[in-house]
Amino acid sequence: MSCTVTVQQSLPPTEPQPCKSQRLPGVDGFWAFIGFDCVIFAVLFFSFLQARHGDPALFEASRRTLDSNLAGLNTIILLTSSWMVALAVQAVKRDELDRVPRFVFGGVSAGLLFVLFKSVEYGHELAAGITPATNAFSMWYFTLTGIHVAHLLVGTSLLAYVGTKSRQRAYHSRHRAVLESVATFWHLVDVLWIVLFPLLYLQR
Amino acid sequence: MEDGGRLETQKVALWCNYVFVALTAIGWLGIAHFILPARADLGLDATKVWYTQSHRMGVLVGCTIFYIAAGLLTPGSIQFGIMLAKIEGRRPVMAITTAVCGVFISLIVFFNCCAWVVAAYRPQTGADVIQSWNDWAWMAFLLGWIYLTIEMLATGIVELMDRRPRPMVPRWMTWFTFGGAIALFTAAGPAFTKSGPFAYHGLLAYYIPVAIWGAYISLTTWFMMKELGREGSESTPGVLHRDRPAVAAADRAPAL
Repeated sequence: MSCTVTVQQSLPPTEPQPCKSQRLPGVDGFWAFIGFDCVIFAVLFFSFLQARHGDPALFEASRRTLDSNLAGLNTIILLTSSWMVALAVQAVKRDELDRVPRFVFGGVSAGLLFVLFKSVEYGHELAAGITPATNAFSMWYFTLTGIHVAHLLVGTSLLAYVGTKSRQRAYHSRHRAVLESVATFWHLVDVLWIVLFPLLYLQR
Repeated sequence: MEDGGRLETQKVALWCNYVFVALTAIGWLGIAHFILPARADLGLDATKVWYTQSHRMGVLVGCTIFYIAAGLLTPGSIQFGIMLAKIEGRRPVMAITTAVCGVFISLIVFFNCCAWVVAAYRPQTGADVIQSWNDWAWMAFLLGWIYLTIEMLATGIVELMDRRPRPMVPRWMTWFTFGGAIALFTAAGPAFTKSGPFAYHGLLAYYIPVAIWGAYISLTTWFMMKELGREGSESTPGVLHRDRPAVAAADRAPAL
């Protein structure tokens, strides 16, 4: 079925014009992957909450051992990186191709900074004798943040790839689906952390 | 006539996947009661009671059905590989990977069934021996996630190579396959814990991976079956397929 609209004020008045594309950003079907990942994380979050409900005192005591300042800093870093990546997508849409690699590699730098701070945080915890085997909270903490860091490393690698390609001007306003897909995945990584941060560090 | 015959054989091989899923649900999840298995933290004596009293006959019958089903996964997996090889063309590394991993999984399931049957076989066997067989079977079953992940990734990669206007498997299913392949990682948990969602009776280690496995086999078989139907009608004189340019003859010939 063709998608057409009749524009009242343009000439000729009865001539149908193609409507704007209603496609989702990214390559065809990619949102199924995003949706599936969200469902898996939702199950993980629900399972964590259920475990927390079973032993709130232990979870609260363990939560207090975490460094929420470093995690808060990482939240700002990830939000900044998402903003950078969104700017890169806007630049591609406007065919401002010189700006695209700068924004994308800004996102890559932020991703690497997140990994650096997270490694410092893990180092402090391990030095304090907190490991995944310590208790139920630490098992969940290392599992959830570990899976998130794995996502982040994949996302950073993909950003570095599209950043390199964008230097070669591989993407432009009519050919941007791959860049959009990677950007969408990066925003997912960001959103997951936005949920994880209060869930692990702030929830009393 | 020869082509029609080959199509029928391929359809039968794909149907084996449906039969595998159905027999697994009936035999293993239902009759053997693995829908609610003996928990990893159940304890020695309770595990022995589970296998030798509460569900002994169910395990013997259900696991017998399950290993028969596992045998049927072999032709089904090979047919997955053949369907994918039609897309991948010559030297179909990924398609062969899919087929071989499917056969591996078939064997893994067979040996799991043997172990569960052994656990229920002699009521006089010691509780520690029964628990060890049970643990071994679960570890072999769930830690086999790596073969399923590789199979699903290989399948998804080939599906992305299908550039036709109407691909064999729709893109949303391909990306679901990738998502499922990655999510199977949670089945690595049972080696490290005996309770909670990552234990071998848990939501993340057991139920979600098994659901992903079932959905992947059922849905991929469904789309491949439709593709075979289209192949059949394309070879029928007088039927037009404007949206499906024929795959090049060289690409059609699977090199498996």
